[in-house]
Amino acid sequence: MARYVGARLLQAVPVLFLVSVLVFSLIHLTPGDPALELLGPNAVPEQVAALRTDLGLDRPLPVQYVVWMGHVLRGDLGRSYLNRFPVAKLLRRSWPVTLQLTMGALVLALGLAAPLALGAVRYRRTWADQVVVAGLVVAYATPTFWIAILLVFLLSVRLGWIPPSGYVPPWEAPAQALRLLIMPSFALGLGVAAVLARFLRATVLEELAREYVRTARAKGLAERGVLYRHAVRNALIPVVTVLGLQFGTFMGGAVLTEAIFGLPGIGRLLWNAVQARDYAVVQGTILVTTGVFVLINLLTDLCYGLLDPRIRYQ
Amino acid sequence: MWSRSGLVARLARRPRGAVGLGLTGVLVAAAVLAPLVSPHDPLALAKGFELARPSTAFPFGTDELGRDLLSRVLYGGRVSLVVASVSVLLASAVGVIVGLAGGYFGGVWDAVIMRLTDTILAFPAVILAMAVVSLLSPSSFNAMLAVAMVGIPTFARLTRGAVLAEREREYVEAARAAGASDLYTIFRTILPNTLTPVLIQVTVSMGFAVLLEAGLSFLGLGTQPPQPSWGAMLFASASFLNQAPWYGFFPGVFLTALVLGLNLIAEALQEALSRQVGEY
Repeated sequence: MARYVGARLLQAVPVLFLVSVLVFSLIHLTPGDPALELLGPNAVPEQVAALRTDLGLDRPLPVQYVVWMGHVLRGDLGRSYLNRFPVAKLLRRSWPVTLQLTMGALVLALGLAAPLALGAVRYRRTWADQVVVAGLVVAYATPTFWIAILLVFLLSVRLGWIPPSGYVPPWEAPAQALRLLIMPSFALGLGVAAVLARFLRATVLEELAREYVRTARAKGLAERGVLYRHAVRNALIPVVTVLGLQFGTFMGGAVLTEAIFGLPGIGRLLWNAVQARDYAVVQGTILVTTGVFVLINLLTDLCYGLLDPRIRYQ
Repeated sequence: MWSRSGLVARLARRPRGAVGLGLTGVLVAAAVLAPLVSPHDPLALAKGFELARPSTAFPFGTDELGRDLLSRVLYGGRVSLVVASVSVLLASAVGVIVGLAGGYFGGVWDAVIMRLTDTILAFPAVILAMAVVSLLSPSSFNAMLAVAMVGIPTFARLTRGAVLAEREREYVEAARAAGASDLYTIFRTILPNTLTPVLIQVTVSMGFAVLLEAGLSFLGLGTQPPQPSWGAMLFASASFLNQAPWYGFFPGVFLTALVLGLNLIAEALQEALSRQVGEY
C-alpha cells in the first residue's frame, strides 16, 4: 500500500509542475505589460520601469518562475490588477462559498441518485425502470444553466418561495443560507446525480449477475440482504471514482451556477476576472482550482486503492 | 471496416439510435435551412414588439430588442453546430496525429506527449476553456479553439492506446518487413484499425462541445452579440423571467434536444461497435 501511495504521489508531481508552468505563462502570453496593467493608462514610463524592476519583470523568465513559485508556496499569489487586493485574500473569501455549493450539490446528487438507481434495480425490466433510465438520460443532457433558470422561474417567480439570488454566510443566518443554497445545489447536482444513478444502476446489475450473489441467494439470503449487503457494497467502489472524476464538472458548473445565482464564489471570481482581464486573479484562481482538482483525483485514486485491495499490487 | 450506410441503418434499428438520429437530424436540418424557414431576419429589430408573447407573427415571441426568437433560435443552432463540429474535428485531427506519433515512436516523444496531456486533463474543462478565451479575447472562433483544446488530450490518449495494441500485430510487422516507411505504416496500416474508438469518441465529444460552447456563450465568452446563440439567449432571458418567461424556454429546449440527440447517437454507436470490436 505504501508503495502504491508513493508511486501515485510521485506521478502527481510532474503534473503539478507543468500545471504551474502553464499557469505562470498565462500572464506572460497575454498581450500587454503587467506593470502597465497594474499602474493604469496614465502611468509615466519611469514609473512603469521602476515597477517592472520591482516586480522582477526585467529578469529572465526561468528566474521569474522560481521567484513566483516561491511566493506561491508561501501563499502569496500577487495582487489584483483591478483593486490591488491580494489574490490569496480574494480566494480565501470565495472558497467557502464554492465549497458550500459543491457540498450541497454532492449531497443532493447522492440523495437523488441512490434511491433512483436502487429503485430502478428493484423494478428492473419493468416500465418504472425504463422511465427512470430515460429521465436520467434527459437530465444528463440538460445544461446546468437552463435548469437554474427553470428553477428560478418556478420557485421564485411563480411560487415566490425562495429569493431568486443572493448569498448569506451560514454562520450569520443558517436557515436563510440553506434556503438560498437549495436552487444552486439542485442545478449543479442534477447532472451529476444522473451520471451517478446510471452508473450505480449498471454496476449493481452487473454485481447481481455474479456467482457470489447466486451463492448468497442459494443460502437463502433475502433479496434485500443480497442487494444491500453484497451487490451495493461492491458496486460502491467504482462509484467513488466516478464521484471523484465529477469534481471537474462541479468546478466548471460552479462558474455557471454562481453566475446565475449571484454567489460570490470561486467561479464568479474567475468569471469577473476574465471579463475584466484581471490576469493576476485569473492566474491565482486557475492555479488553486487546478491544484485542488489534481489533489482530489489523487485522493480518489488512493480511496480506490483502499477500497479494493487488489489494486495495490498493480 | 464497416460501411457507412450499414452503420446508420444499424443505429436506426436501436431505439436510442433512432431517437438520437431523429432529434439530431431535425435540428441539423432546421439549422441548415434557417435562411429558408426563418420567418424574420434574426438581427432585425421590430420596434414596439419588445418581449412580445408568442403569436402567429412571432411563434416563439421576441427578445428585449424586438428580435424574432424563432429566427434567432434557428440561426443560433447554426453557430452551435458549426462551433461544435469544427472544434471536435480539430481536436480529433490533432489528437489522433499526436497519439499516433506517441504510440508508434514511443520513448521520449511519447513520455512528453503523455505528460502534456496529463497536464491539460488536470484542468477542469470549463476553467481551461475560460483561460484560453481570456487569453485570446471572446469570440465564437476563439470559443471553438478553446473547446478543441479541451478535447485534444482525450483523442491523443485514446489513439495512443489503440496504436500500442496494434503496433505489435503481425500485419504491421509485415508492412515494415515489406519495406514500408514509418509514415506509410502509421497512416495506411495502423490508422484505419484505430478509427473505431476515435469515431465513438467523436460522437461523445459532440454533445460535450455543444454544451461547452453554450456555457461559454452564456458567460459572454463565446459568440458575441448581436449574433444569436443559445447560451447567450438563455443568459439574457434570466433578466426577464417576470415579463417574458417564454424567452429562455425555446433556446433551452433546442439546446437540450441537440445534446440529448448527440448523446443518444453516441451511446447507440458505442453499443453497436463495441459488440463488433470486442476490446473497445
